[in-house]
Amino acid sequence: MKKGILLSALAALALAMFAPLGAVAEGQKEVTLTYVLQNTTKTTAVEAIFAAYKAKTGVSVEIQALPAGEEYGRLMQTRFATNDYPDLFEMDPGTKQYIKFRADETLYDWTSDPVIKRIAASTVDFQTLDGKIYGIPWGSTGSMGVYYNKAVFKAIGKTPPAKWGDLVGIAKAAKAVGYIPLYEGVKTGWPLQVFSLAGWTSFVDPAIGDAGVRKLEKNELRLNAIPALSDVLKRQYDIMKAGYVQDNALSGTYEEQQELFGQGKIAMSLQIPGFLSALEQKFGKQFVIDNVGWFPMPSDTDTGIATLTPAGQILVPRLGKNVEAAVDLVRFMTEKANVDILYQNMPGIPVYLEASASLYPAQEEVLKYVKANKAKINVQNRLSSSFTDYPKILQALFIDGNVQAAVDLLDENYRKTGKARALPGF
Amino acid sequence: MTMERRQNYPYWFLLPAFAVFALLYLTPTLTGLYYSFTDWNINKKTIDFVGLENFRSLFSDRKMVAALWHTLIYAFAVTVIRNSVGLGMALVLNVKMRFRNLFRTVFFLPYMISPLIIGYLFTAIYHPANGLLNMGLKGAGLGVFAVDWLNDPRFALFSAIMVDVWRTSGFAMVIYLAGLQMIPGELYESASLDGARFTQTFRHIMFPLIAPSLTINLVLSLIGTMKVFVMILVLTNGGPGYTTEVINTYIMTEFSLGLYGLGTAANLVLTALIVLLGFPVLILLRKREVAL
Repeated sequence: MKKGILLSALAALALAMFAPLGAVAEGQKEVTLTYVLQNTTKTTAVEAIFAAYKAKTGVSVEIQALPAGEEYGRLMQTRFATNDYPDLFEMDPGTKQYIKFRADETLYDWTSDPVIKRIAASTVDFQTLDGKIYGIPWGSTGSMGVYYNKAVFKAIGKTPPAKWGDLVGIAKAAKAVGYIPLYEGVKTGWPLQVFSLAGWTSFVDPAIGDAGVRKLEKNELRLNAIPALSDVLKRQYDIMKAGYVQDNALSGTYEEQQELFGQGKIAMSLQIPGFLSALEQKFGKQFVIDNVGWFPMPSDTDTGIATLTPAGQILVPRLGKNVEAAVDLVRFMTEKANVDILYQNMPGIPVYLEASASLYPAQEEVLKYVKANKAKINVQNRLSSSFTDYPKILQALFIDGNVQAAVDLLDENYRKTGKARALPGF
Repeated sequence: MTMERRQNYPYWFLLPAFAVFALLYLTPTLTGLYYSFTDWNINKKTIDFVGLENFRSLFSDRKMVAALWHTLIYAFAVTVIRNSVGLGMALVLNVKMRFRNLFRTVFFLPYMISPLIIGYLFTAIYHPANGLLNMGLKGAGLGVFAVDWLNDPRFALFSAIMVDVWRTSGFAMVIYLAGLQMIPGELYESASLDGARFTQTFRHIMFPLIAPSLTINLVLSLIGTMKVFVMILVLTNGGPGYTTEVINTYIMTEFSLGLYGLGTAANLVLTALIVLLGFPVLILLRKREVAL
């Protein structure tokens, strides 16, 4: 009897010991994917999509938000250099990212994947380098340029400018009655890029043409040898010197810009498309619909050329731990129901053929320029090298007003980065 | 009578310590030295020897020259101000008074806090509109002195220097206090009997006899401030423009661009600079100690 009790107790003990081990063994089969994005990205859409994915497959997706801006790219490159691959991550647009991450060695090749058939042809073109596609577009096409407060414009009796001189006139009129005429800010507190990048399409592109950009790409044209670029920077400096930008011109932040714009204290904001969804979060959709307008940087003779910002992209490291699961997730994310969730949360010009999307009035304006063939992709996304340290170069310009020094440093950094990336011609 | 024999330990006892030293110090130092002469780059598959090319590139880069200059200004200013303030506080707190130990603790406390946290704190304190400093100045009717401390190129480096002084003066104070307390009381008594004023006592007794404390403080301060990084990164990130760029923020930029060879070369320049400045200062101050 005693022996029986002892054996039963031992059996129970053994079961108790091995049961958790069994559970662990089961648990080891579970996959949790890591999805990395910039900490300024609104995550409502991906959270909803990942919840749906978990319900369908049982696979969880953990979102990792890293510091935004140039720092983000550097962090991701460092992770690649140390073989610390996330399962999938969002990245800035453009095939230059393929070069940065040595795509042929490290990234999953989507070229013949069925997902590509869901994407608009122009976007497929944009995502292709040497016949290969390593990034799946994620987001919408938008525009960097001048976002204006319609109520303020009404109060000062102005309409969007027909040419550069009108823009200066609006700034003057706004300042005269106590508004901040122009505000430029980014999350990290170092503004100033949008003016010259939006100005590039209206002033520099017409001067050098596509051939000029191709020369820049091959390092056959120097940035400091483009008078139109120096002219844009001089205009930016002159606008600042005239007192038409916010007082804290060297420290304006994205947060303050949104707040003051929403409070109706700013006439015009130089910004990227994410400004609209950020304003919607703070002041509601109706505010964005009723109060926010958009126009490109006007040229000396007309309303100018829109500067398009392509959709970002998702990259999957093929050396990651869960490549198959990550690829499956991307396929799921690009299904119609899920891209619809994306565009509901981030209205914009869609890059997926089947997607339904509603646009803000400001985005409708951008679309008019696209349809009229008066739009160009941001030059930074057309070049494989980068305008490295651009915000600091522009701050230095604001400090000393030395346009020549600014374009010289810009050129120096551009060529240095091209050389570092081992680009042909550099 | 027995003679004591001096027994030396066998040399192989050194091996474990040397192995750790070689692994954790010598190896990274020597490989770093080698890589500073290569084109090591995140985007390149091979690492090739390029001789002095990295150094040529560094010294022809205006940003590096500016960073070098700012590092020297920062190191010199922090060293001088920190030691003046630290010595002043030590002199005051060396006198018997109420709450003396409490004051000593309070002044030393900032040194215990991470520079990162202090940097973030001062980012808020220096805020042009809502910062404690400008609000205080305005409240005291000194609004004319309320400037944009971290974003005005005229004040940004100075503002960062003052934060470092605030953080580390307490540490200098503790070392000076230790030096002051080593001075025999008889010297003060005889000086007092001779009718010496405080300035004379300080000049002829205190200052000469705290020479070792001065050496330690100056050398540690010089070496530490030449390596400034976190404080600048958090407060200004080298901006506005390049007005507060220091060598370590420059190195960070090069590394984050994937230019590891160039970044390592810049690091070697910083090391050489520290050695070139640190050793003469150390030798000079040591000689002064001996002479006294």
